[in-house]
Amino acid sequence: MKIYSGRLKRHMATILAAALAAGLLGGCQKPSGSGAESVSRQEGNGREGGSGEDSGSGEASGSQNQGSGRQDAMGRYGETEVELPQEAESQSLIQFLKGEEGNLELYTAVRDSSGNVEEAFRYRHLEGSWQRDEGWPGSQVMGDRNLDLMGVYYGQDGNYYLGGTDDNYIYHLMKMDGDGGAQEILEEVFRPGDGMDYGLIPPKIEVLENGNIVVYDYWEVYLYTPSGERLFSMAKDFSGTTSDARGFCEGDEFVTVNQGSIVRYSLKDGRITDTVDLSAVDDGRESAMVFGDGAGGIYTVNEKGLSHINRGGTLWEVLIDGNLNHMGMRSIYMHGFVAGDQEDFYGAYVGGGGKGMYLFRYQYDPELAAVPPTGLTVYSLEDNSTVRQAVAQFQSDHPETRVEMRTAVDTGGTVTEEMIQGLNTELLSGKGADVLILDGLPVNAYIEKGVLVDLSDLVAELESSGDMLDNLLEGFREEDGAVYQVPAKVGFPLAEGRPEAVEAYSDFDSMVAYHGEKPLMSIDNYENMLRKISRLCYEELFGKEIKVRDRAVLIRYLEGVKALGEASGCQTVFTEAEMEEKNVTNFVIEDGLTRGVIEYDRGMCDSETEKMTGYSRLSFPAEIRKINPGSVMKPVGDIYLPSAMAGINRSTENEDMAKEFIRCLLSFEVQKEDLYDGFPVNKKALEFLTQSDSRDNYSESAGYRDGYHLSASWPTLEERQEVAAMLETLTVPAIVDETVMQMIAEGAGDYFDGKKTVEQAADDILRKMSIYLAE
Amino acid sequence: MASSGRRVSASRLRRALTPWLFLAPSLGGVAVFMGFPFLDVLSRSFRDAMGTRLVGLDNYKAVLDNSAFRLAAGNTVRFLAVCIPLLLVLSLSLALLLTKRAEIYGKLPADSGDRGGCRLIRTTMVLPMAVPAASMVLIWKILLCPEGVLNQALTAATGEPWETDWAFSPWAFPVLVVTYLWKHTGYDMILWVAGLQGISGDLYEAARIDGAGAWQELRYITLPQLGGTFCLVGILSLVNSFRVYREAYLLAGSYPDSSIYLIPHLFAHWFLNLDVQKMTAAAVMMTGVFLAPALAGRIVQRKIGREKIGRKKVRGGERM
Repeated sequence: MKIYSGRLKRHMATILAAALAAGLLGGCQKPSGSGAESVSRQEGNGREGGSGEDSGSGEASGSQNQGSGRQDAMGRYGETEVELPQEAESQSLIQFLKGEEGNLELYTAVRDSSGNVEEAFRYRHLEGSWQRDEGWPGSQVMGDRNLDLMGVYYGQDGNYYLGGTDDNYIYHLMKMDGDGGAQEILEEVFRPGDGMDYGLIPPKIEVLENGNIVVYDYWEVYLYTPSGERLFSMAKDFSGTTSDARGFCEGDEFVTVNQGSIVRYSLKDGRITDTVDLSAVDDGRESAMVFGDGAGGIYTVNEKGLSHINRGGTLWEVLIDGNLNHMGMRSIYMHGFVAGDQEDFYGAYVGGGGKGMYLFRYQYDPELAAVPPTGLTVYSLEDNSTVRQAVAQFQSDHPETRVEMRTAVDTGGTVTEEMIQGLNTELLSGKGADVLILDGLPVNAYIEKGVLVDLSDLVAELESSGDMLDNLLEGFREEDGAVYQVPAKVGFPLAEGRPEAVEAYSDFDSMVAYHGEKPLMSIDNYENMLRKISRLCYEELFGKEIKVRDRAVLIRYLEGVKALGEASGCQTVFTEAEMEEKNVTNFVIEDGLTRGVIEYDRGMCDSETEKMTGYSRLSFPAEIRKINPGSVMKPVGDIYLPSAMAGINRSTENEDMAKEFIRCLLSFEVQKEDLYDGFPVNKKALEFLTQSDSRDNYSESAGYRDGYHLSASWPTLEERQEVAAMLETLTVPAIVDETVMQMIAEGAGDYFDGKKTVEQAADDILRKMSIYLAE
Repeated sequence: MASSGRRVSASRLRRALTPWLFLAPSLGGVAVFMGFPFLDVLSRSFRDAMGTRLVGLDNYKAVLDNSAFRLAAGNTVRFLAVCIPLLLVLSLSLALLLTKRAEIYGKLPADSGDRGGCRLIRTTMVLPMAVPAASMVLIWKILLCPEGVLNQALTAATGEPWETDWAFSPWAFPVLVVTYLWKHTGYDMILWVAGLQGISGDLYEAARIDGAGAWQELRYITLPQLGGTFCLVGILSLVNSFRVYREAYLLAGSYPDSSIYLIPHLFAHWFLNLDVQKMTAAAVMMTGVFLAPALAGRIVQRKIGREKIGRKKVRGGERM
């Protein structure tokens, strides 16, 4: 019996050990089915697959399995554009809300050249179409009082409220009565305090069932009685927009975002009753809008998508994936979001600069696959607006494909070597994203190791279409004719100043030898000066080979920078007092192009360079040329600064689709959007932006403590055309090796400070550089 | 008879298998997490960077021809040659002092407090182990930067301005050595103390009766008895010395002064640039370099062991 028991134990132990080993090894096994790697991470919206609760980490409910014989989960929210009233195309959006009887209402306005509302309109969505409410008295009410309409609100008390400012920017809140009349309320609340020029201009108003009024400020929200008595205030996160959608009232609760979490306040006493973590669905880049589900639950929506959480819950359910629709598009901004009556949602968006409005409906479609059957992954170290735009555009054009954009760091984060090593690990194992955005990655190593696909056929195809600025793509052709990377956007340094000064930018020696009335360039810290010169004189110092590895070239570079720096008053480090006095900082940026041509206009130097990354950066140079007759503007050499460099991972199984994505990235639709990250490389898009007069109201101004002031408007067509022509002449992409630049900057400091001779500094730098280059 | 034979062989088999079964989990772990990856490393060292093409010994040649590798390997060997003996001597000396002090104060009654501060000394010495590397490096930076405490002290002492950036000058090597010693001396000292406590007091007493002095006790009793501890401390110090890269990196960045550019710096940069073929070839060579003496030592040890047993047997025979 004892023997039997011992054997039984042994056998049990063996079986358990075998089961444990099988479980461990099974857990490590690669999921079967091709393409599962990129798809299995996706957020599923299918209802068949369980609760669908997801904290934003991406594990799918009802996730599908390709090719494994399992049935694909079906059902997802699809997006359809809702046609807007035709006349609204030329109007601007004031408000989108759910009004009386639960109807969708759209408030729009025609503005004058100063941006003030001339006339406002109300449209109601009745029986599937928009109908203009001719009898709406709102425009008349505001016009009679000379108020500029800012917002329209439908209170829980069943009344409409209009808010706007007068000529003195004092806010007025009007309560509409049913007869077309209106009565001003909370007049005292918005009146400026003693000694103040301006009073509170609330980004949003809500009115409760009992008539109490919730007034949003930028850091707080106040609850007032209709008579204007403040009951209490509730803290919330700062919101700098004029339409604050980070809060809502439901029943006797106010819900908002405070310190990165959702908080519920009791409207009885202003106390917090519940806090919900928001980090899983809001990375802080773009503040999530919040609205209620009518049953105590909360919806949040931002570019990541629409998520929901039940009262008392801790997990966010991702209902709509923002990557699959216009939510993730960078050229448009969410303005308002409401839940419909048929398990649907409506999102109102406006274009950049408030121009253009779009309305999309999100409706659950059981016929759509929970996750699109094919997937494409795009990897970038940092977030990039143009790539995001391309992802959204590609998604819109290819609903059967799920495009995932992975970034190593969130906005404002720091890229570390470990992140690149993490990507390298994936690439070495034959995995990794299909499309790589190569900014900040060791591109030359990738090319040398055969990580990237040769895109020469794609480039030839794009060039033959005549749609591209060939000079900008050709800069990346290798000696053997291969092209492994293409830029989606470019910038370039534009020199402006006295003609002889601008002429000096033709080569490094001329710059150093320049002797004018004032220094060639303005004061800055030495590291920025070093970095700026590395770009402006890229071919002479870096070029295809790192020319500064030559001791003589390096010494010439250091001596030249010191000569230029001494003329301008540069220092390695400025004290607080010096920074204050000389209006300069110790802040260093990668390309060193920090100062801008305004320094020339201020009379600090005979010329300066402006980093041109779009027509908005042309306003000051163009204005300065007007007020300084004889000044000239010229690109520096043939240099351009590429960004959003796209390449394709050789290990991809979706090479055709990846190429299609790059076509999309360089397409007119994506490139025509001015996202402030560079000029397009698409000729048609550049022409479109050049001809576009969409920024008629644009103005920019700068002021200094010494009384200097400059205002500029949107550059004229001729000025834009001049810059467009410059872009067609640029042929040299300046991509400076950051490791080398860092070594030079570290080693040159003592020379600039006079603690070392130039030879000593050069030898120190070369000692380090030789190790780097030998590796 | 046959049945008895089968029982004997089954019993032998079971006896032979039992130790392997006990070893199986750890052997499995070592095989999965170290053995197989090393085989992959070995295989990759004969292929190109992406592992798609055989290149023979080209990677090994490239590594040996690489001046950065030669510099890093030289620095690493120099660092080991300087640090490990220093660390062993320093930690053993401290352990001996501490043991001696404990011995003296150990004669005091147990309730007489810290018995000469032994506990305090031990804690103070081990404390650097508990300090996170990043915090430790921050302290070193405060001490060693151009405006740091050391320069200020030297300026005050000499009356001349000192602005040496110790971590980025030829002084970087001594700085790293001191950093390493400061961090690891306490730990090694504890190991030595444990070894010292394992030596029987009878041996010392007998030696003293025979008229041995302190030096003779150390020479003929302490050091020979610490042979096992020496191996342990030596191996741990060697392993820990490779971790000094963390301090070197935090102190002086990824491209420090050439005197403290170590193998891990090079490996990190190679991996960053996908030079895996070089990394693997260098890793295989390094394994060989470190494995060869270890294996040689093991062979010698076994040989000596066998000889000793042989001698004992002979002596036993004589007595018979």
